[in-house]
Amino acid sequence: MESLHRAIADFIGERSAPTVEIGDTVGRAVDIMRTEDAYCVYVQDGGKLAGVLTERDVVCRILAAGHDLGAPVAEYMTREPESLKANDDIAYAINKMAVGGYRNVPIVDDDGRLVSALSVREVVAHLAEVLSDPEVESDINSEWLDIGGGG
Amino acid sequence: MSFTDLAKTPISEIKQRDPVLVSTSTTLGEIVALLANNNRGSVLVTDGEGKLVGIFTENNLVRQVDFSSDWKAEAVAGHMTTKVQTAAPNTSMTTALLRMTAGRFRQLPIVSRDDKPVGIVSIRDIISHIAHCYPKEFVNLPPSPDHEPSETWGG
Repeated sequence: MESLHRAIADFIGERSAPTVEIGDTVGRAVDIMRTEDAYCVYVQDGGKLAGVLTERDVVCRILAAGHDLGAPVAEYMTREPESLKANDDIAYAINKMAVGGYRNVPIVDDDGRLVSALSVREVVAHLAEVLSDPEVESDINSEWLDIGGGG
Repeated sequence: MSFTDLAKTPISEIKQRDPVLVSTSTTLGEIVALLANNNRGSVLVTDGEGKLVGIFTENNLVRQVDFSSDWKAEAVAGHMTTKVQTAAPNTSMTTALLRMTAGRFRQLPIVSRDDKPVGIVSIRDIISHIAHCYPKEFVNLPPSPDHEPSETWGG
């Protein structure tokens, strides 16, 4: 049965995340988005996750404002993005996407080093699979019964 | 709400915003301003009769436009996606999700029977809808997994 609750590790496998270094330009980040088919690029500083630059940032903060793609990515990135760890439940990623509005969640290790990224594509594929599975109904209902109901 | 009912929810019942509409001659410069000012990821392109003829997303912009050219003066007609996947207002949420997953797109225009756009639903709209149907599962979570209670009754 396709379970609603699974570890993020099940979705990311060994895949790495698209990255640039803190000293790189926005143009370099756009090149990475193009070649790696990525919604965003993560910015690393000394091996640690320092920020993220998304397609939306490129459109709204740079192109719409008439800024140059030669500008440093550090000027436009969102610093210290919210992250999760590989053994966290995917419900937390769904929470960040549904409530926080993020389309990508960086996955880091205990030292804050980027190990992968979970995109909205993977989450949606999971939800579509769960919604298409009639057995999940009993799964989620039994969970409500387990905690003693309450309406 | 049961999972079965949720899966069958018509796409038109999901909270969404009105689509931003442009014509085929609208320039990319005008569209960038529309995307930024409305905080949107896409515009829908319609013909003189108001029928949907294309979609232009931030993805089209960032991935396909040559920024070394005078790109802002170019008309959207030359850059938009013309084979647009759409949904009818009564398309189920599951069908919409499967369609978006298979096609790898994040925005699904909703059109009337005469191909006129009546809405647009994003992947985020759908995720948000599902999450809010099950607040305990997805919304009312501790701020971080590290704050999960170690025992059922806390304390």
